[in-house]
Amino acid sequence: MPVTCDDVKRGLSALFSCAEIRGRIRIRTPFLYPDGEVVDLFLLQDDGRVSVTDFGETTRWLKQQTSALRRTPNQLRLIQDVCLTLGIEFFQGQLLLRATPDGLSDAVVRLGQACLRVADIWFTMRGRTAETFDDEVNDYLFESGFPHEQRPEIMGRSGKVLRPSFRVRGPQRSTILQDLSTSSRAAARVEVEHALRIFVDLAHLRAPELVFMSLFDDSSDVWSEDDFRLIRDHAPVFLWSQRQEVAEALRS
Amino acid sequence: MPLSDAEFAAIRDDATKQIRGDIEWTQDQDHPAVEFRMPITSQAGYPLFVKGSWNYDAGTLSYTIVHEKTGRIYALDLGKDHRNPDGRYVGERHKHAWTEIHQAKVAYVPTDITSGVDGPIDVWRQFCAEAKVTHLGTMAPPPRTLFMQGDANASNVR
Repeated sequence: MPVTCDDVKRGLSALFSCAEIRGRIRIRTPFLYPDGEVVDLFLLQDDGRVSVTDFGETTRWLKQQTSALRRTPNQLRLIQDVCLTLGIEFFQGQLLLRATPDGLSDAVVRLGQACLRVADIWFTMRGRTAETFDDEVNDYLFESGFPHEQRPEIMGRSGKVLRPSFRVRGPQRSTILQDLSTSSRAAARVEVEHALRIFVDLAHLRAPELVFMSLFDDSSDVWSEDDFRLIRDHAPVFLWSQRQEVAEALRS
Repeated sequence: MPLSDAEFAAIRDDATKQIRGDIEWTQDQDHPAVEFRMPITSQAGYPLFVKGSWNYDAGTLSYTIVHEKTGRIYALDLGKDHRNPDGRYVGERHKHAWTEIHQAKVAYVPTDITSGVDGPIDVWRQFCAEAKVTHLGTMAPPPRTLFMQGDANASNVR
């Protein structure tokens, strides 16, 4: 006797809903992928045998979040670890679990949990994080042992309070460091003009013990020679790809 | 690195975005869905590409614009429900658009997508129109797989 939606709903709370999709039972769970997408599971039935599957929706969701072409070996290891813990089968990109009609509720909840844990691999993917260039520079300064403040509030000569990227306290002098980062050429000039405003408005603070520095994120080819020339009149230009020079300048 | 709201708006509104070439769906060995991936060119040189994914068995279809450094910034999902951070569910036809605060977690119901999961080519045409992407080519109908049944419409995009 095939399992019906009523059979499924009997063992699960009202948080789960059931519908027939393309002749199969789809179970809509209360679980959410990291972006808020709802986790749906499906029943496969064949001669009295029942399996619960996500039809590959979890790995499909992961693939949609990233620029990567394929899963890395480490990500595959994480998936396999999840499956080992929860007794789930990972087959052709699907998370699957064989079930008995009496054990459907357990299977649905366990598979739902597996979907969430596998989806959380997203947090290990490069380029997904909300990390900004500011965060990268912050980490670099910290690891290089430079005491610094991120986004300090400094009064400009215009009377406005400015927040340059960093104020770094080096052994000989302090540096006001403004980082510039964008992924589009259209926004590059906006970034440059923003940095210029900061350097010009804080120019009254320049002294032997306080210097300025600009740090360009050159991982994207968006900056022009004009951009560097504009900044160079107010602060030396450094590139992220040559950040060793940044450390040397901060120490000098 | 994440985009600012202004940067995303500039990308979204840039009408020079183009996809050149015909789109062929391929079956990934390690996945039930059929997929494609195409680069998006633009005068500003944004590092973008689009991914399509059609899972006939699950009844889902997605078209996603991915920024190489940020990840998914704009996407259409059919066949799956979505809960926004404010607690509201938006239904099985929704679009995600990037914001600085919520990244791509907030979805809305698009009025311009009238075709369904079983019409991936019509949906593609509608998606490109709102995303201001010009596709210079055609989209082939998705292939059948071992799990799949039924036909997808086979009209050209161009």
